[in-house]
Amino acid sequence: MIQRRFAVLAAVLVAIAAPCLANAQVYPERLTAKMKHVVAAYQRRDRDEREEQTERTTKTLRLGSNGELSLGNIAGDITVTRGGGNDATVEIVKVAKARSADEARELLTLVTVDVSERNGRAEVKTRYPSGDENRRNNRRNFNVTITFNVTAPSGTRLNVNSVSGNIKVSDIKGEISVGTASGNVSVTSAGAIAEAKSVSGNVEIVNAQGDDSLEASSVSGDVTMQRVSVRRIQAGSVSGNVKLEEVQCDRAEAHSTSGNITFTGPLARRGRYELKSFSGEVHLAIAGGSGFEVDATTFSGDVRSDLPITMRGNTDPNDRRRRRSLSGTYGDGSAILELSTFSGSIVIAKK
Amino acid sequence: MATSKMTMHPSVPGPAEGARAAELALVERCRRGELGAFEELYRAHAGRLFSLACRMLGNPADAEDLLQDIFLAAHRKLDSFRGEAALGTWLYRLATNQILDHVRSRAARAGQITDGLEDATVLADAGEHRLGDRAIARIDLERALAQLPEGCRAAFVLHDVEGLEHREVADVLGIAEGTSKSQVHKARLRLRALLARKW
Amino acid sequence: MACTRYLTQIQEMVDGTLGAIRRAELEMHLDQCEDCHALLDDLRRIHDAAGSLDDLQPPDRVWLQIAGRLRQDGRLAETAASSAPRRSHLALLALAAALVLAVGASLMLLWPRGETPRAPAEAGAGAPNSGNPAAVNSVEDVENELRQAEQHYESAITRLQQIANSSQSSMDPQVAATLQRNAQVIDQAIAESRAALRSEPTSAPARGALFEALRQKVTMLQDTIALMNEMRKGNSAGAAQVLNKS
Repeated sequence: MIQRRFAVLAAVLVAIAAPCLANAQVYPERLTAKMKHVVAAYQRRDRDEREEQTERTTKTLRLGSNGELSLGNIAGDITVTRGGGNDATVEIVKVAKARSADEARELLTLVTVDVSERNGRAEVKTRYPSGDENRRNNRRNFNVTITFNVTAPSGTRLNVNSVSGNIKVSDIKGEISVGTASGNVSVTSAGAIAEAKSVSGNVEIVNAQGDDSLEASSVSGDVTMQRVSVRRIQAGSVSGNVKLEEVQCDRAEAHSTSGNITFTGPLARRGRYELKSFSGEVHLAIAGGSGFEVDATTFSGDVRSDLPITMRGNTDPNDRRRRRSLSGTYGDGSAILELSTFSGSIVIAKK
Repeated sequence: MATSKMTMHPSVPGPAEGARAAELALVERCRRGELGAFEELYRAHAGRLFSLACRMLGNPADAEDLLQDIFLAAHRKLDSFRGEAALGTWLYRLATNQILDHVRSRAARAGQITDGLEDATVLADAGEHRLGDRAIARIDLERALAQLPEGCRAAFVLHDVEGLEHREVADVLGIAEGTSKSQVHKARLRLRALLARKW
Repeated sequence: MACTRYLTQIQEMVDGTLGAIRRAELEMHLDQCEDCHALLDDLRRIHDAAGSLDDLQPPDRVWLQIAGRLRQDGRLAETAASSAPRRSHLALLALAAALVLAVGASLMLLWPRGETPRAPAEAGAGAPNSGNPAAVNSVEDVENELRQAEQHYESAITRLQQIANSSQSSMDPQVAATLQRNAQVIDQAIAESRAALRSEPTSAPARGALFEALRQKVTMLQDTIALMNEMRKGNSAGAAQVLNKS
């Protein structure tokens, strides 16, 4: 419930901020003051908004088998799944809440969804009234969420953005880019994923095979990949964990400031794996594949390896004392591992 | 009248001695080629000069180019800054000249200095253009300002926005005082019509 | 229809230049004429609104262009030129950081086994001079390099922070709060690794951590700005016309 409230609040704020595009930089104080006002008004009114009205519409878009679909939403979830044929269908569910049923009905008409389509490219975009229109209608808040339920041909290239709301994409093999400011992102059974990002939610990618690179990030949420096979992985979070499980790639860069980093999977010959955390742990479980050369360092944590690593320099391999750095080779030494954490520990384990 | 605006005007005395010394020191560092010092100078005055350029030209893209020219010219001419006037005043004067040059050359290219104004009495038609009790949003005013014809926009910006008197506006623009009045007055009527139309 | 003969008087009233007698005459008329009254009100409000317009802020690229031109024209002193955040510098400092790590790591091999490197003064005394005098020089070089690289990061961060702050208002407060909290997480990391570096100036992990944290902060700020742009684009149909260009 709380989340829903913020979702709507976000929508209202964006609707108000948006018309100031060029001027957002111009009158920051004024805008901020205005926002506080709106937030207060919103919180006051929210308590009275009990009447709910729903409107459902479905659009069919002629995308073809390799079309491009852009979805832009402000508050509400987006789900995309594979459908048969060459068309995409978009079910748009608007839900408005207000003090009276009439008012809720009126709200439904004010928040619109623009659909445009041309030559295999389609765009679906939520539009909240601009500041001018708000003033004309004497309105300050919009308790309206919009959900998109989409089915699209498997080869569709997909671009999904939301300000507030969860995004779920499954069984789409065209290139996918998804992003939301607050909400979780989940992509399953995908082909190429260019990027998957969230600010305050988790990002999860399960079962993906592609030839390119994959970038996934969150600021405060976890980034998880399971059974992902791509050329290159970049994954990062500031305060969340980064978990790369059963992944296969030539190059992986994973970082977190206060979260843990986990990597399990085989290493590729001449692959390069950089795993860095500041205060979290770095945990690596190697499932066969190539041997590696490793450089692992920590400032105040310790480094441990279950695999017999041939130390570089004249370090005694039988030295069992707490170690703050480890440099050496395992097997054929063909992959490169760079592991670091400032205050956490580093573990190299055998899977 | 907004007196704070007037401090920028050439005829108004500059800042206190301490501030003056600080300005001279900053200018000296700029002369020596310290980019950080010039950036400080830029950050302190760019907003004010950009606003003037933007409103006088009615076009942010042109204003950006011009702002760049203004500060490059200022950097070249810093040697001639003796500290008689406040740095802000000095820059303001330099900027005004550059902006007016730009406006004039643009007007010359367009083959006209003044615009064919509609009859003021038509604009004054109250029933149609009344603002009523709606507030004037700054953003709307900026937008309307950009739509004014060149000549009366410059006079209006200098008089109503920048706070110059008609005598001074006339001086700056090289027009008669009466012309300044009629331009500013027409600009207000036009703005009223533009703002009323928006609703 | 406002009365033609009072138009000038109304305007002069707004200008504040109307003499007492004509002013009295106008006021008498205004009492009876609603249209003229409305006109005066409107014009006055326009005049006042114009007088209280805020300064517009030029986009950041203007300064970058000015700095670029000054540099091109050779009007900057050499040391000053390097204090401007430049893209090429960011690449350079990534290199510098890598170098620092590489050199730092190789230096570590010089210390007696099992001991952690200590402060440079101590280290200089402890490490046998016969060992490798060049290495002592390179410690200083590295320290210098490190300081410079850090400065570049800092100035990039300051610049990005300015941009981020100036358009923060276009962001949902919850998201803004999340970003702020996480900026603090990174700041904490920066502070901790700095403190570590003070206690062990030659520690490669401390250096690595500091640079990683600085780099992350740059990345986060860049992402924040990109996100804010996205959000503004999100519903900008009406906004595009505000000023044809942003």
